[in-house]
Amino acid sequence: MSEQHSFGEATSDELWEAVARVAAGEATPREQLALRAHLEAHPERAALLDALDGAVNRYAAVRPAVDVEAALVRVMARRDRRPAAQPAWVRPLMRIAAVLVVALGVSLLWRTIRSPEPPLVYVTAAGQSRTVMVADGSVIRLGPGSRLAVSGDYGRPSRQVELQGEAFFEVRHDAEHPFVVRTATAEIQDLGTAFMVRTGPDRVTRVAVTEGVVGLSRPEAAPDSILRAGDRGQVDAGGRVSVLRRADLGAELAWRQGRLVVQELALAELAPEFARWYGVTLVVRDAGLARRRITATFPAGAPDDALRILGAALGAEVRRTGDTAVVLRRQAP
Amino acid sequence: MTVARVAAALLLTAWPSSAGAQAGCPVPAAEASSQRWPAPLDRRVSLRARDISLRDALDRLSAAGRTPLAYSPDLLPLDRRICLSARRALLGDALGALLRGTRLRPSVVAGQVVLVPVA
Repeated sequence: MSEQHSFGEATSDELWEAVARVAAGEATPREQLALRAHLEAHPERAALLDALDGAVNRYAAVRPAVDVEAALVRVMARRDRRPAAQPAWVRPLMRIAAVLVVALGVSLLWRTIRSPEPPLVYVTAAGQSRTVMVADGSVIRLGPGSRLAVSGDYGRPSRQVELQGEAFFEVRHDAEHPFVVRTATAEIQDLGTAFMVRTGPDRVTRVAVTEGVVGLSRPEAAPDSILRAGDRGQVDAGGRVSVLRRADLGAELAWRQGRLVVQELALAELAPEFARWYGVTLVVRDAGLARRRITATFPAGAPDDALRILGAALGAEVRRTGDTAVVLRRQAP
Repeated sequence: MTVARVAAALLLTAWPSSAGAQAGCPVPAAEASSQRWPAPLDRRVSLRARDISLRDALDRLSAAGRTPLAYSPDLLPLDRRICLSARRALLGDALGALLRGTRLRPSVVAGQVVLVPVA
């Protein structure tokens, strides 16, 4: 049975199959002739095949030749190659690094689980005072409007407290566990002592020593000055340390008897003391009056009496409304 | 009582000394007043001092009278040198003598001695 090949009415699939067979060299001579006749009869299809043939030839021209077998041989050789010999110190070093990483991880985990013990905080309200006895037997008398934080690790190894306001310390000396009072501007280290520390809004730390010796310095610094019994020292907001030897400490220590004693203190500087002792805010709008000084002893727990004494001594008028007292220059009659 | 006050006033007088030693040490000419002082200005005080500052004199009278004093240092010549001799004088009289020549007078406010400016 002879084959009759004609693509006169051929479907697209039949035509493309014939084209593929011719291109692959698998077509019979008859099929090649039939395809050639068809393309001569359909020049648009011939043009399409020419364009396709040109594109294929251009791709073949630029495609790099890939030798698959050679590539496979190279990969196998690389797989079987032995690793280069490492220096002898590398392996111990890697072990040490691994141990350090594990230790660091455990440390971080321990710190996370065991947070530092919180400090014990004692606060006094305006006009109040209280006595605190700490674990080592030291006694701290906290003044009005003050805050004392006893470190959570007190005594391990040092005994550290932080103070805002006023306190009197009677410290049981222990050279192995130094007692340190920190304020915003100063550090006071006990050397076997009873002493008073007072801080205020002016960021000045004042220290009065009644017994023994203390070292006075700026925070985190070696003691700048040694204060002995009867000495008064201070560290101002700029970190400057000054000392007055054999001072009159009566005013500094009177608060322990429940009295606010001031000596030649400007009214503007007295205002924060009134806030601590009486919870009363003094408002002084007259600059000259604010600079006027006063020497006085004010009773605790009696803000109206204190304001009357203040006004009388200054020759001023004091108008109190709630927790605010306005101090005015007295008008001439 | 009257005799005692007169005696106290006589003792609250000048400290006898040479003129040279007393230069710069004016003596407050204290006299017993007829004023009735409220407590604690009615306390008796005895004090004898020479050539001391007014500040020191006030401190000593405060200690002798066992009562604090309230005042404004800006209204007093605290560095002025004075002499003082008082024996069983009333605290009010002694303070009045010290404050002579100033605008302050002793008074009692809320139970405390205050040196009050007067108009």
